[in-house]
Amino acid sequence: MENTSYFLGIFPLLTTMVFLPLVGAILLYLIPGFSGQDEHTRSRVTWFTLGVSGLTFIVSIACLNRFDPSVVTAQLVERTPWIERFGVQYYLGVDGISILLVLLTTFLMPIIVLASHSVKTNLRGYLFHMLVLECAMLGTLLAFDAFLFYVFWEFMLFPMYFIIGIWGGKRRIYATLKFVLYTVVGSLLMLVGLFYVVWAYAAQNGGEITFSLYELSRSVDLSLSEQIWLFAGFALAFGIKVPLFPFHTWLPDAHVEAPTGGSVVLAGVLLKMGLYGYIRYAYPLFPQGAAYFAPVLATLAVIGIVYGALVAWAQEDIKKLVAYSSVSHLGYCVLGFVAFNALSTTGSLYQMLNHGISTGALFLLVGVLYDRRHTREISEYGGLASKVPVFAFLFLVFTLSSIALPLTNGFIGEFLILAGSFQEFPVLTAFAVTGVVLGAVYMLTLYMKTMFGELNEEKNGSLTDVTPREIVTFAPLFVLVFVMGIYPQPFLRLMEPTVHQYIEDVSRKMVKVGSPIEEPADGTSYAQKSGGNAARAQLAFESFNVERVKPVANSPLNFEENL
Amino acid sequence: MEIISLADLYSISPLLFLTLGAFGILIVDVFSKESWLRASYTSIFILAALSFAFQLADVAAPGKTAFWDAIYVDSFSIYFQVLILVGALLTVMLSHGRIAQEGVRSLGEFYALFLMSTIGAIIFVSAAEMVTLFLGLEIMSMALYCMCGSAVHSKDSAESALKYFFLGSFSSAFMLFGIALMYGVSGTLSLAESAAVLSSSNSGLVPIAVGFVLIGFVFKIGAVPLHFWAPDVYQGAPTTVTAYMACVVKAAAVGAALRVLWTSFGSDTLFGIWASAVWIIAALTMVVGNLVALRQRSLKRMLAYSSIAHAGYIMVAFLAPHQGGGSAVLFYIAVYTAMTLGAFGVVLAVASPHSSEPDADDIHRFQRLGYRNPVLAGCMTLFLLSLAGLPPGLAGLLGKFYVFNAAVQANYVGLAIIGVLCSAVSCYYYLRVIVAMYFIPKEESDSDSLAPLAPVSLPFAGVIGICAVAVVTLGLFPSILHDGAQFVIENF
Repeated sequence: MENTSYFLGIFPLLTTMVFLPLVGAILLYLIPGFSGQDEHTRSRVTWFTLGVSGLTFIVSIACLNRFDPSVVTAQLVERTPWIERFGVQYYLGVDGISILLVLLTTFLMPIIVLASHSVKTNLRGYLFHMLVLECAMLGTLLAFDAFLFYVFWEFMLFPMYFIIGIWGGKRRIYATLKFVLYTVVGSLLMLVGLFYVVWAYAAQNGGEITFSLYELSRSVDLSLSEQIWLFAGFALAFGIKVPLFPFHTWLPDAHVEAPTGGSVVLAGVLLKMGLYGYIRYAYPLFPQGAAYFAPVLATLAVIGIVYGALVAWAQEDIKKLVAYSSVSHLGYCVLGFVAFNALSTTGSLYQMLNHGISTGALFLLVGVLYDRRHTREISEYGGLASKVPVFAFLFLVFTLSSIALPLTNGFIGEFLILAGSFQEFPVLTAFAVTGVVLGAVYMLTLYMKTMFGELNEEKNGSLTDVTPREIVTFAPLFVLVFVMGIYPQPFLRLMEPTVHQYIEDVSRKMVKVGSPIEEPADGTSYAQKSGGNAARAQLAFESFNVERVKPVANSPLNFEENL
Repeated sequence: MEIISLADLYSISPLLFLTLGAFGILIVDVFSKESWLRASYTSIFILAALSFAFQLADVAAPGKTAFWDAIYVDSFSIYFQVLILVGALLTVMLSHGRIAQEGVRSLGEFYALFLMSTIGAIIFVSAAEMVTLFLGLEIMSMALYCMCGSAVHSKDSAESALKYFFLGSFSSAFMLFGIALMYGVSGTLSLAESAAVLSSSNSGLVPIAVGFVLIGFVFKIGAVPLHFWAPDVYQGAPTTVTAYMACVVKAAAVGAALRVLWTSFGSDTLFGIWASAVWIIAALTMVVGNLVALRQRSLKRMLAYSSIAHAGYIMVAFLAPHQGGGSAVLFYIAVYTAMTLGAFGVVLAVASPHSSEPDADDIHRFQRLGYRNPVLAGCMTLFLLSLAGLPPGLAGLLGKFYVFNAAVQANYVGLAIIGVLCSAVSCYYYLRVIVAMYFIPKEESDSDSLAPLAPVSLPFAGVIGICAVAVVTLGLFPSILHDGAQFVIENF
């Protein structure tokens, strides 16, 4: 036993998890039996990829098994120098903020592989890029070295570029180039900002250079104006990826043109990377810059929520509708994080998972329809419920999850976000709430138009219901919608200590003595104000927990009673 | 001192071997008309020179000179000698069987000129005094002019040679005038000795001299505003020569420029004079090179403009002599050589052998290459992504990492921002080739109307393979090369 645990102690779980998909991807091209185009080879290729992604999922479960929620820093750390002279390390770790996103990634990938049978041409290439993408995404989530993060961050572009470009719709080339160029512009500016931080650190620490996130954020000392500029650079890079309101235009294009699996992975994981970048890098490195820009970000997020919802309402293409709903949903996540108390940030992280599940499932459902009818026009469908009842049922469940009906996962996330944000941005949150209503409007309208009423198109008469294979695809998502909606504690418990510590650390640095920003008019210092908020948030957070004996009466956070 | 010592000869042994090769091949040419024989003969002499260049590393010492202080025998000159020789070797491999198709008739003379040009390039980078420097430049350039025009029946080739000759002589004259002024002010031709005199002199001629010398280098590097020759010359010349100019000649010019700027003009006062000029030139080069490349359909032309743009990135690091700029330049130029030679290799393999056709290397010839020849397309993708600085083309990204890192450390944040924005622009035209190779469906492509791809010959596959391995290795383990580059700069 001793030996086993020792072996487990040194076994590089995270490296295995990151590079297993890459090895699988390369094997796809090295194993000779995988080169044909016939049905037999296709299924062999699919099974192989399913095996690789399933194994990756198992490794991620093993990570979860060894993950200790009470530790608030990176765990399962693996670090070796990479570019020694510049202090760049190969530095992987996982903490309470990333663990669930990692699991989401590894969990979604087998589902995407299962759903890939609709890819008609060059299935092997498609799965190759999917596996490469998984490697890049996991690397991005696990990197604790800023330059390594940057490398993985850019690495995510390459497979996605191919997935949209080869297997996408009619305007795929436009969409994919737009996707890459938008992202690259932002991220290269981020790179320059990163160099600036590193050299500022080196100047303050006797010439010692490091790209390690912890060391940089702990001891680099930047003036307010530097922080504002640098945060702006980082915020642009991450804001494009989220996407925040004025930078969101690449998203509908990319989503609409991407093949089903591409859309799922885009909505499920890639969009989260933007917000993850804020959480992991922009905020800890430039807390004062973050405080300075928080109102701006919150405003943009709320504009995104309302605007995304309104535009989604007006869409005639189902996929575009879901894409714009992503803009709206991600707005919630950003708002929740920017409000920056434990409650809303937890909600934001939780909502990221929810969005991955519900929107991912919706894209899969759209894919199912598209495979059968080769159109995504809403007007082409109507009265499907009578023809494909199981499909209609699944569609209903994920629609409800997307509009955050209580008992579904979406409800928990949105509730936490709105409750938490209200303490910081009452007015903005009031606007954001309208997004909830609008969300119900456009999603239910979509459901009504497509599923209810008369079977209006003759072609829809021959529609077949979901196949067993598709049911297998949807089952895990279906289960998670309810598990996460009814019993969120196990998930929240994983992130809770880290989030608390994180909020405390960063908000302490948001204002230093003597800095000129944000002196509230009522005479209290900002530190007091944010301290007060932190305390209130703490209270609210605890009231949310089951362990708490009696919830505070008349509190909006009185969660169990509301349930 | 009167007679040439053995040590002196040893220190120029790579040059001796190349000279021997250059004359010998003219004799071989008389007896045999086999193309492969001449190419492999040339390669053998380059290999011999290369092995002696490696040997020289043992005797190299900082500031050590030979031949009455005419050339440097230090690690910097050896680094560039090796780079030039490796580049030349790969170019010879690319030339085999190809230049004849592009209209070059007298192969013996071509290879003789090729070797002479390489000799010039080596003298250029290892010169320790101004006249030797100029001699190196002229030997290199004269041979190049002829090589550009060596496709005797092609009008483009003739145009290319003539343009290059006129403009090149012009810029050489500028440089010579700058050298004369330098000599006038300092009374010495030695690079190292003139540094002290020039920096303490308050003569008004010093800035003029610096400016004129800089003009000569800017022209050879192909930086804006003296870049106008590059696209026409690159396109008209036989593709092998183009690859040679874009890699080897550029490396030599960068090495020599770095040496002169940092040695003779390296003092703080002089740095102040040329730094702002180089700032503007680098910024313009990056912007213009990338913007114009956007519109190119011919891959040769695109690579020509891209090489202009990369010259801009390299010049950014010139401004950071004490902040790791030197090793950044050395790393970047090596990676750049690998990426660009690899890309040229693929272009040569795909483009029509008859370069007289107007669309011989048009982008549409790359359509569906990903399905017609997956390995070739995969390598091209790697080179293009590396040129664009996107993972998995890590080598190019790390090159930019070193360069812009140095620039930011030296407080040129503005220039670094311009650089990265330009590099974002460059993604567009590099990725466009990938679009052609992979994203065009069968129905929309006209690849069927093209002649089927000839099988890639062994030397071509070798060049492409070597470059791909180099790009991958340098991307994963950059320290292998960068530590060496750092050593070179510390012993500068």
